[in-house]
Amino acid sequence: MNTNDTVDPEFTARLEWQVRTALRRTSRLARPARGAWRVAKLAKSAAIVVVALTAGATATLALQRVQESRSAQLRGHIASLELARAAQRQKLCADALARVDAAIARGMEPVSARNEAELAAARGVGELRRRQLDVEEIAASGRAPDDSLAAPRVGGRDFAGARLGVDLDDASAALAVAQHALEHVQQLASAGATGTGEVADARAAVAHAMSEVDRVHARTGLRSRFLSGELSAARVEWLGRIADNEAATIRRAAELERAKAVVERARTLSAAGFAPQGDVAAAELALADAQAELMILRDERALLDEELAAAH
Amino acid sequence: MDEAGWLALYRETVAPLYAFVARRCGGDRALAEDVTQEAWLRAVDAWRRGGAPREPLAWLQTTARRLLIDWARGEGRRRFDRVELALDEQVLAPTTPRAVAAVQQALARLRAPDAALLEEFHFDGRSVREIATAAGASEKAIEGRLRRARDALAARLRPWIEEARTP
Repeated sequence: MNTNDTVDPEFTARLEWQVRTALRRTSRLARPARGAWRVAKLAKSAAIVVVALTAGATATLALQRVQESRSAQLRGHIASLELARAAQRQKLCADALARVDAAIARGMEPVSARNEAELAAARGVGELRRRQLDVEEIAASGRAPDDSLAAPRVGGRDFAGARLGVDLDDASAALAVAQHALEHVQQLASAGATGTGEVADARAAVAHAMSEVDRVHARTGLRSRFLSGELSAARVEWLGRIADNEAATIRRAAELERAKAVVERARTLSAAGFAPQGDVAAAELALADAQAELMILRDERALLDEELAAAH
Repeated sequence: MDEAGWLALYRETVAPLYAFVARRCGGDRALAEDVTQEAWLRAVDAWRRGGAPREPLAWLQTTARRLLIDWARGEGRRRFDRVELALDEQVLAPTTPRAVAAVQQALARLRAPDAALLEEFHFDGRSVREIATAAGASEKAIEGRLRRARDALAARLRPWIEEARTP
């Protein structure tokens, strides 16, 4: 790594160009003022335009428009390629699911084998829908897709909300698969065909998937409240971070429980001479990690609450 | 402010802003450039609406610090080897992105005056005497506060430091 804290002249020049561009863009796209102010502002704008023209700024502005138009074109082209790739991937996943179904029908695969293939197929569909939305948003705005909770509507459409809908479908599919897997493992465990560790793993996977559904659901609600004007942009972003933090806390708490079970198991096996002491040390390290992560998330939540209270 | 005024302000602040950010990035030039760029573009957006603040560089530095904290949160916290972080009475020097992220997150969780003191001394290179004069305190008091702040920082970082394993 370079420890030099002297700015690179090339970077400075590039950023200066960006600052100039941003200044000119905001000038051109500024909301019109009203009444006398509007007249004054128009006169001022006209004066600026005259000065700019005489200073030979026309060429720069034209060049900049060409540049922006090229960027939008390039962005649209890349999004179309991503869409084609997602369509290809979705088809492969659907074919794989059909093959698994056929194998199950012939008795060559257990029914549980369908879980992974089903999840992959659902994700393939979700990815395809997401890429389609990206292409449409870029075509409408010329800008990169905006997934933030405070993203504006584009051409009257709520792309950020639509992508949250896709996320919710993905998360629901993952939850259904995790629940099937848990039921299957529980049946095996009751028949003595698998251990409690696998059941704990499957439970953690369900908790993980459920927290993701809750997270996306919470974000969807926040998005609606922002669009209805109930929440400001800053507040909705903060509340979004709190929703993310809550989901992560639930996940970490589940991982902590799982890590405790792993430590217990490793200690029992090690005491009976079936596992090396290194396994116990590794499990204890993972447990310490999970505890620390959970502590940090709780600290972060306290910090977010404080900042939210201070801001409002 | 006209465009010439904006550009004069930009040229006056970009180098010190970059230096401020780079000292906190463990020498990661790409990260320092990204943060500097984002801070200045946010300034354009905010200052056009509300006018430039009285201390533009301080505004930019505060924004850059928040961006770095946001970046560190996004990076998540990963364990790092002790050799990736030099921390003693004279030095606070994270040298890898994960150590930089951990230090930024740990600083964000310290009491604000403690974090500011550590940053002034370790990142901005101000001497104990300079800090004491500015704060109207004795050098001994500042040394004591620095020691306590460093201990608090080390305690925050401890769970994330992985001791080098002997082969």
